[in-house]
Order: sequence, then C-alpha cells, then structure tokens
Amino acid sequence: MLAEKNGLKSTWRSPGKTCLFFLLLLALTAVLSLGLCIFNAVQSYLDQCDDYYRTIAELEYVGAGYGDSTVYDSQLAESLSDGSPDLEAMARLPGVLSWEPSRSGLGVTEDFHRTDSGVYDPDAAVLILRNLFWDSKMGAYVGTVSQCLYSRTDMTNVMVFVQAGEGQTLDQSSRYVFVGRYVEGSNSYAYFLPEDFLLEQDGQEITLPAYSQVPAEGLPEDSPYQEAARILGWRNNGLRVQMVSDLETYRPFQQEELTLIHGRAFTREEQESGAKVCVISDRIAELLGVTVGDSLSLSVNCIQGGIFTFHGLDPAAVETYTVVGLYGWTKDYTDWIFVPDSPDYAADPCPTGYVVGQFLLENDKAEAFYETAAAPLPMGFRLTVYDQGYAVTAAPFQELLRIAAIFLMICCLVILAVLALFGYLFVYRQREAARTMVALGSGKLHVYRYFASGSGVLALLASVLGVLLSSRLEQKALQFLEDFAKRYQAADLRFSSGSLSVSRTLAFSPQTPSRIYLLAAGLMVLGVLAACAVFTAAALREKKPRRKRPVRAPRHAGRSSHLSGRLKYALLSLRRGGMRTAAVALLALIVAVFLGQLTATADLYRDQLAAITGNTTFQGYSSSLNGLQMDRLVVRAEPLQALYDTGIIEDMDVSCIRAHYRYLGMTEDPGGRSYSVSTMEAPRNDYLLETLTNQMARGPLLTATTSLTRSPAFYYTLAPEITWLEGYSEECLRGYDESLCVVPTTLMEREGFPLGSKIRLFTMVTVDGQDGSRTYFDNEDLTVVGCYVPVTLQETIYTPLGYVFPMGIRPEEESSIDPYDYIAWDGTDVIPLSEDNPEARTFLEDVWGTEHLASNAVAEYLEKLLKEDGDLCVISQELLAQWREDPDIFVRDGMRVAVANPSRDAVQYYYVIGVFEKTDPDMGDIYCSPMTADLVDPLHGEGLRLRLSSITYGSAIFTLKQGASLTRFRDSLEESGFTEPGVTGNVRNCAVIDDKDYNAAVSSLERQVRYLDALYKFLYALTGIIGLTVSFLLVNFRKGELAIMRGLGAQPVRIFLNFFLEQLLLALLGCGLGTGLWALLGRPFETLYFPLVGMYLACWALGAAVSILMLLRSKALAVLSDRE
Amino acid sequence: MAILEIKNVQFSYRSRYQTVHALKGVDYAFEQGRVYALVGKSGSGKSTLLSLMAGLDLPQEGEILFEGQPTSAMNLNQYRREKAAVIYQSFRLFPLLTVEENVTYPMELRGLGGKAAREKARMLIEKVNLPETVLNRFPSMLSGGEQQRVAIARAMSMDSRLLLADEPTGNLDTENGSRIIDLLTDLAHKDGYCVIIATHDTEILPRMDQVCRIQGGKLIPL
Repeated sequence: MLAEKNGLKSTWRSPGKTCLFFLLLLALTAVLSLGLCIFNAVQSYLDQCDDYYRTIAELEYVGAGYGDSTVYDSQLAESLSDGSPDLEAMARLPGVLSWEPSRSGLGVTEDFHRTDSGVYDPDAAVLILRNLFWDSKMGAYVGTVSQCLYSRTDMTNVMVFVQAGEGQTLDQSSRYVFVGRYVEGSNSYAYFLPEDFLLEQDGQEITLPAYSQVPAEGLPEDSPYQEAARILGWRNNGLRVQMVSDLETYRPFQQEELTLIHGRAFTREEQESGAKVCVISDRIAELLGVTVGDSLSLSVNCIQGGIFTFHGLDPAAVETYTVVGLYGWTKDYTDWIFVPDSPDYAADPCPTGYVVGQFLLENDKAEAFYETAAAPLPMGFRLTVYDQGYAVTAAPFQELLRIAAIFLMICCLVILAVLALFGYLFVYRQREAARTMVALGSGKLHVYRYFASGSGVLALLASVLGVLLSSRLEQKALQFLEDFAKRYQAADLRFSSGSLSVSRTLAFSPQTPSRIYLLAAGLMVLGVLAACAVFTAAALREKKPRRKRPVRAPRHAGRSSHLSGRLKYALLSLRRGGMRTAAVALLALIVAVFLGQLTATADLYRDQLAAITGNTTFQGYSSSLNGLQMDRLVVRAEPLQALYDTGIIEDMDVSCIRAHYRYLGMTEDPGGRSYSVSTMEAPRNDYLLETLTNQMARGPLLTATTSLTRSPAFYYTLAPEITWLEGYSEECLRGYDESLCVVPTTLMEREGFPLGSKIRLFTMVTVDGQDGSRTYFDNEDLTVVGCYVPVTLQETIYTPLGYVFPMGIRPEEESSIDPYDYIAWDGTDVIPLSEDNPEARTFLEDVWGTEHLASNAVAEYLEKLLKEDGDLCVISQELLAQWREDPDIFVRDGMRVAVANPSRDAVQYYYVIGVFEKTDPDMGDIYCSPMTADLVDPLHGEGLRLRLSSITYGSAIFTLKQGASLTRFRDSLEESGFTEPGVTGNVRNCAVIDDKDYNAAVSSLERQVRYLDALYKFLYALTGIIGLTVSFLLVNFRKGELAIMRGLGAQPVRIFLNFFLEQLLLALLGCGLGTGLWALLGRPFETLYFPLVGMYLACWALGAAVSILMLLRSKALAVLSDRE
Repeated sequence: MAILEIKNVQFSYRSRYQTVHALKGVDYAFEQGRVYALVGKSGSGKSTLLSLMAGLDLPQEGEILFEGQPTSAMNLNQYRREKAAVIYQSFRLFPLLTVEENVTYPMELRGLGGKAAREKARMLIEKVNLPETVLNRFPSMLSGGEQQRVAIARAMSMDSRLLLADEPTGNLDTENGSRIIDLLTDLAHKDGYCVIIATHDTEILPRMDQVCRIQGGKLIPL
C-alpha cells in the first residue's frame, strides 16, 4: 500500500498539473462517449432503415400497348429470347439480392361466372341464332339468340344483327352458330361481329370459321364451337394468378398500391415448401364467397404465349389453395391472385403484360446498380428504382456516420496525444524518483503501482464525471443530429423524377445502451494505466549517453559586412541564416501555394455548382399518376398553358391521338404521277358503323404531334432513326400544313410507297362530347415527308399538331386563337334560332347538305339546336375562311366558339356542328340555340380558356429555360394544380421534372462545398496558427542571441526590430516566391487568395512580435541564465 | 577611489515552495587597476552578485554604486552598454557574426560604426593576441580559448573600466585558461581595468590581487 499511498500523495501535491489533466480527461471522456453515442445511434438507425426499407428495381418494356397488363407482346418475347437484355448478367451485378421474373398464369375456378366489364374480352360470345332474316335497310341479317353457348351476359332471345361473309347468304330456315363479338346497340338490338377463332385440336392449330350451320339435331358436345365457348368461358372467367416469392417486396405491395386488409402474406416457409396458399382481392373474395382461411379450388394454367392466348387452353388439374390474406382491390389489380412462386409452375420467359420482372436490391447499392444496369438496356426497356424513400432518409445519416467516424478517429488521436503528455508529465518527468525507488530496492511493479495509483484514481474520477456529463448532453446531441438530418433532407423534391417512389418514414428514436458509457470510461482509465505502464518502462530504462553533436562550422570563412545601422544584424542574420532562413522562406512559399490551391479548389466547386445550376436544361413531362412517362394520358391543355404563361418554359411539345386510320393507297408518287385510289364511305347504318368502329379501333393510330423525337413512341429510345424528305425536318410538325405526315418504314415497305408520295387514309375520330362520344369518318390525303423505324409493332402515322396547339409558343401573328376570340353578339351576325321560327328547321336541314356528321346524329342535333339552353351552332364558311380555319376539321373536332354580348361583359359558348354557305350577304354568320341571359361567364382571357378547355393531349414534354429557377418552376406546377406523383393535386394531370441526375450532382457538389467551407475555414485558421506558432518558436529558439544583445545593453527597440524585420522579410520573400510560382503555374488568383496570404504574414509577424516582446519583458538576468 | 561600491546588497530567489536568500547584505568596494576573485561554493551567490554588478538586475535591498552613482538610478541598458563589460563562461558570441562584427557590435550600439570601429576591432584583436586573420571568421571556427579572447576583445571594445568575468576559464583547458587570466590581469594592471572574476578555479587565486569568499550570503575578503 506504500506505493499507492505515495502515488496518491504525489498526485495531490501537484495540484496544477492534476487539475489540468483531470479536466482534460473529463472533457475527453465526455467527448469520446458522446462520439460513441452518436456513432451507435446513427449506425443503429441505418441498420433499422435496412430492415425497414425495401429497394427494388422494376424492369419494364414500353411496348405499343404499354399499361395493359393482359398483353403478350411478341416483340418483347423475341427480345427476351435473344437474351437482350441479359437478365442473368444483370442479376449478377453488385447490389442485387435476387431477380424475380414476372410469372403469371390463368387461374380457372369452377362455378365462377364473371359478369363485370373488367373481364379480358367482355364482348366475346358464341351464340346460336334462329329465325334469321335479311334487313335490307341495315344491310344485315337479324336473328334471335336461341342458345347462348358463351357470353358475359345472358343473351338468350335477344335480337341480333349479324352479317354473313362476303358474297355469302344464310339459310333463313336454319340455325347458325356464331363466334365473335357483340356490341349492344342504342336500342334493344345487339350487333354481332362474327370473327374466325383460333383453336387447338389434337395438337394442331385450326381456324374455326366465324359461323356455321347448326345440324338439325343440335350442336354436338364435341363441336369445336362448344370448345370455343368453353375456352372463352375459362379465359373470361379466369383470374390472373401471379407467382411471387416475397409479397412484401413485390412492387404493388412495396409501393403500397396494394395493402393487405385481412389475414397475412404467405411466409417464406410456405414459399420454399411450395404450399398451396394464396392472397386474393377482397372483391374477388366477395364474388367467390370466400374469406381468410377458406379453401379455393383453382386450376393454375401457365400458358406459353400469354395467359390470355386464344388457343391451347387446357385447364390443368384443380388444386386446393388456402386463402391466407385479402388485399384491398384497386382498378389495376381487381382480380389478381398471388401465390408463392414455385418450380411446379411452368415458366414462360416472356411475361404477360409489360413488367419483365424486378430486382431486389441492397438499399445502399441501388443507385450504383441503376447506373450500371440502365445504360446498356436495349431500346424500349425501362428500369425504375423504387426505394420507398430510403435514399432520402438514409443519406444524411450515412453522412453523419462518416463524420462520426472521423470525429471518433480525431478524438482517439487527441486522446493518445493527451495520454502521451500525461505519461510524460506524470511519470517520465519523475524518472529520477522512479530510479531512486529502484535503487532503494523497490521492484518495477512497485514503481508502476506508485504511478498507476494516482493516475488511475485521477482517470477514474474524471471518466465517471465525463460520462455523467455526456449523458446529460446526449439528448441535445441527438436532437442536433435529427435537426441536421431534417435540414439535409429538406431538398426540394416536389415533382422530381428522383422521388417517384412511395416514401416511408422511419422515426429516429435512438436508445443509448449503458455499455457505451462503460466503454468510454473504461477506455479512458485503461488508456491512462497503459500510458503509465509505457512511461514507467521508459523511465526505468537505462539511458545511453547521447553523443554530442559537433558544432558545424560554416564551410567557408565569412566576410565582415560593411553594413551598418539598426537593420545590420537582421540583414546579416537573414543572409547567413542558411537552413534557418531557407526553412522560413520555404514554409511561406508552401503556404502561399497551399492557400492558392485551397482557394482555387473551393472556387472550382463553386464554379461547377454555378455552372450546373446555370447551364442545366431541365425537361419535364406529363406522366401517369405513379410518375411514369407514357402515352395515352389525358393532359388538359389549360394547365399546360398556365404553366407556359409563367415564362419559365422555353419549349413544350405535345402529342395526341387524332384518329385511327386505315391505309387506302398511294394517290400520287413523288414524280407527280397520280394513281386512282377510291375513297371509303362513312358507314350508312348503325350496324356498319359499329362494325367498322370496332375494327378500326383496333387498328393503327394517326397521331398529331409537335415533335416526333419527343413523342411517346421514342421516350425510351436514345437515337430515333428518322429520315426526312429533302427540304423537310422535324420543324414541319410545328407548322400549319396538316397534310404532311411521317410514316413508319414498315408501312412504307409493305405498301410500297416512297418518301414524297401522297397517300390516302380513311380515318376515324371519336370525340367525347357532353352527350357521349361521337364518331366521325373522313378520307385524308397526306404527303409523306418523313419516315421512322418503329420501336414497337404499332404503325403510327404522325402529322403536325397544327391548329390544336396555340400555347403561345408560336409567334403571335401565326396564332390561330385571336380571330375567333369573341364574336360580337349584336343580333345581326349571330342569330338565335328557335322552334317558333318555321324557317329554322328548313335552314338547318339545308346546312347539312354537305355531310359532316354521321347521318343518325343530324336529327338529334336539329332537335337540340332549336331548344333553349342548347349549346350548338352552325357557322358560315365565310367566317371560317376569315379565321383561316378548315370547315371540315372545325366541325369534325367539335370546336366551340365564344359569343360575346355587345358590351363584352358576358360570353356564351357554342359547339359548331355545321357549316353553311351564305346564299345572301345579309345572312348572319352564326346561327345558334336560343340564348339564355344567365349563362354568362366573366370575360377574362376567356377566348384562350375556352379554346384550351376543350383540348386534351395524350402526352406533353417541356423544357425549362436555361438557368430558370427550378424552385420557381416547382412552385408554378404546384400553383397550376398539377398532381405530383404520389400527391394528388387539383388537376388530375401528373407532372414530373427530370432532375434526378441534376439533384444528385448538385447535392453532391453542395455537400462538397459545405464540407470544404468548413474544412477550409479550419485549414485557413490552422495555417494562421502554424505561422504564429512557428515564428514564435523560431524567435524563442534564438533567445541566446537576444540575451547577448541584452547583456551588451542593446536598446529594446533595436532588438525588436532586428528580429521582427528579419522574420517579416523572410515570410514576405517566401510568400512572394510562392505567389510567383502560383502565377507561373498559370493557376488563378481567387478573391480570397491575397487576404489569406496577408493573414498568414500577419500571423507570422504577430508570432514573432509576441515572442520578442515576451523575451524583452522578462529580466535580462532570467533570459541570460535560461538554458537554451 | 572605488569604481564599484556595494552596500548592504540583498537578493533572494523566490519559488512557490521556498525562498533562497542568495545575498544577505553584501558590502564591498572594488577599485580600478586590481583583479578580484569571487569564490565560494556552488549556489553561494557569486554569479548573482556578478549579474547585479553587471546591471542585469537590481538588488532587492541595498545598492550598487558605480563611480558613486547608484545603478538603480541609471538606465540599466545604458549601464550595460557603457559601464560594465561581462565575459561569460560560454563566451556568448553571436554565431552568425564574424569576429570583427562581434567586436564592433558594442561600438555600434554606442553609435560608433564604420571604418573607425573596424580599425578599433583590429587593434583589440591584436591586443588579445589573436592574429588578424580571425577577423573574418565565425566564432564556431575558433577554439574555445580563441572565442574567449574574442569575448574579451568585445568587452574591451566597450571602453568600460569595469570588466566582469563569470567563470572565464570554466570551458577552457589549463593552458588556455592561464592565458586568459594573464590577459585579464594585464588589463587590470596595465590598462587600469577593474577586473572581477567569479571562479571555482583555485589555481588562479594566487594571481589575484584580492580574493573574496561568498559564504552565507556575505562577502568575506580573504
């Protein structure tokens, strides 16, 4: 105990040193334990995030029917069978946990007959008709359904119009079985469109004729029509069975589009054992009359070539599945059944629908995976990462973890330094005492106990208090972390393509285990004891006498200087200082270059940031509600115009489906030679109308666009292959000439017409009006000015958008808005019609001398036109000519005109349903329904609003003006009411800004700048401190010279100037050389450079001055007697 | 007449734990043309007394009179510059100045520079029996004895009549030490300097005009 007692006494008797180290150890323990707490809290949170978030990447093919989950795209199948993309290679990329191809089958359940319109082919039917007779007016047979072999709704005894094949007649006394589609007519009749049916019999594919006579004894059970009816029944009553390995990570569930409302998902064990369990929608559960825990008899058919294929369906064995969970159905997932994936199900490499599959990714490697995997994807494939908000949530904490690790490392280094100092001062400096103890016979252990007792007690007390202090500060520190993370996450991601995924939030609620504090305190005490041990050993080690270094004389004899005056000594010392002089100058030179590099780097990052911010061009696009860029959206023109009016948009391109077309032929070749191509007439009756409508609706599209390369077909194509006729370019799509078109090369090659020829199309337009949709037919002659290689099977023809794109992008003089902004309502040009006016009906009937509407609509329109509150009008050809509008198009597209009253404070809108030629100059220009005074709107930009309110586009893509503020644009989108993916706005149009890469680059740069700012401030300060300290020490090391001067009675001013000027001159010389070198290297001098060099010089001078003054202030005797 | 008179000089060193009374009332008068030796044990106060006489500090009690003027009333820098020259055991020469520059330095402090100073330096170097060739050498190129001679020359350059030497032979061999003592006694006896030497070297005592022992903080002439 003697050693311990003496050790404690020794510590107690050096109170200054003891207090200093007590406080140091206390502070370091507190800092260390806080650092450990922070590290632990952040690491735990990141671990929790890893468990909480699931990141997937969905691979899709954006084919012609993208969005339809029932389509089997043969182009996709071909691409996948060619190994493009290489899915196996993608699955081996770093960060991929698993690859799950989209696998599905058709689930057939007995006794389940679906009558909803959501079935795969709702109009398909196999019917036996009797009492067939020819209706000459309709040009079709009429019969009664005697037996309904299959149809979604029971059609027995329904009267049906049906047509026989070209040139064929039906025996009116016989019964016929028909396969095809029916359309419900406007009355009690149905229109049946017979179609051949593909069937597989005995392994052979056969084509079943669209109709056949029924034998007198009735249709046999083994008739192929019976088989066709069965297949249709299976297919339409079938449910999509999706094989999934983990329901939680399956995108619709991962993105919370689907949620379990009862029961549970299937477990991993069930999945691995191939258990027959399933999760179904609550709607299907209700229709099937089952609930969680019930059994479901299901035959799962994995059909090659798409689960809804027309042939080859042979239901597999029925198996019993247990319903383990119900999900809330949505429109897109009404009748899906999810079952655990299993090798038992046959695999088709091509999925039904456009989702190829999904990768399950490691959360923190998703970005790297995307960068590697997305670039080499072939045309038409799209990879989308859904991370549930992991990146946004985890990024600041990953940053914090890095900072905490660096902080802990620095903390450890500081602790090591303090422990070394502690050991030196508390142990090594007492080496004489230690050696005396040994000399007196004490063992080394005794000596160690002597030192360790005092130090250990000191460290223990300091550590305990330090830990207590840190536990008090912990909550504040963690709160600071949370605030930091919130600030970090506060990046504006509204409408950003970087935040398409559903965003989940995991609260940051760290718990610090007490072992962290014990660890910190323990480390500190052990560190102190270890330092004692090391320095005790060092103190007791026999020291070999150091060889005295011989004094090195200067190589050559000096020459006495003839310099004189007060600066003589400074100049001589400067000149003869050798390494001492060179070192100071060299240090200043290095500092100057170092500061140059720091300022240049900081400015480089700032410049890069400014360049990215100022020069990046942003594109935005309309998207589906989940943020996907696709076609066939319903984008209203009005909010687009509002967006354009903000002035932030530089360019906007839109496209919309104008019509379905049928190619009729080439009317003129490029040489001007004409060919006779007959026009096609609009259907004469409802039966023909429905038949043709149905057929053409499945045909190719005529799309109006302002840009081909920015139209939806090329969204996922890096370099569209387009060839233009000489003198034409994409700009022609922005012109008014609507007779131009760009066609797919496949159509050109098949039909054999070259660029520059004129082709005739028969087009069908369906316009949705207030009274339902109306269909118009037309023959259009178009000049082929370009062709493109189609990405999908769709043979879309593109035409200029022309009149439906005012948007203000064009010069005002070209705008087609202004002329019919308002038409004066003065009673002369605009004449209200009424039933009281006997001439009105005759007049209107005359207007339709030229047919613009389907014939059956005319009478209906007439009636409406003559009634009050109607909103229809007929308009003179002369007025339209004045407006430079094509009468056919004007009427066909159901344009409206605004009619203003004489004071122009009220306006009424009319659909133009007819165009007439003025037979008398006194005739009015517009004849409309009777006006009602209360149907008024305030007149404020109504012309444009009116025009835009009736226009919708299928897609829109826009470019922001360069350097435009992204935040301002986000605000504009918000103000215009656009819907953000996942956040519903006032307008059901979703917009996305393609700023993902920009955000990543900017946030990375901003982070760099932020860190560099902090780090560089520290480095600047460090440079100053180094200058101050080194100059202080350099002067202090020369106290011998200063002492001689004082001993010889030199005046203090002289002494001060001698040393101060020497130091200042040397630093100036070094900085000057450094600046010169920097200039020689051709590096830029940033604004901060010279102030920082000045600061360094000032610090250097200050350090020297302080050192000299301190030596001058102390007594000469003390300076002289001090050991150098 | 005494050039330097010490009256009841007291001086103590204070630390946190103890106060050491180095001088407890020293009285003595030193005359020109004589060589004095101050002897005593280590820590007896020899160097302290020498430093007080050199004007490096002031006594805490009593006074030191130079030619009748108390040093406390003088500018100590000026006193060191003009009245008292000190020779140290470790020579204390400027390492970056040549011998000539070291010798001329005190002259320049007093405003005497240029050729006159250099001529005087040459003369003093000759006087301390060093060849002229050493003038352009740096101190580190000289032997210890030569450096001490340069230090004596520098002391002589101050035109002071009081020469204080603190263990001037401490770093020298016997032969060089003897030569330095010869030089100092010559300066006293021939040039009229008052030379006070603090030393442990008993061999030089017979050559001193007066030996004084410092014991118990008092100066006792022997």
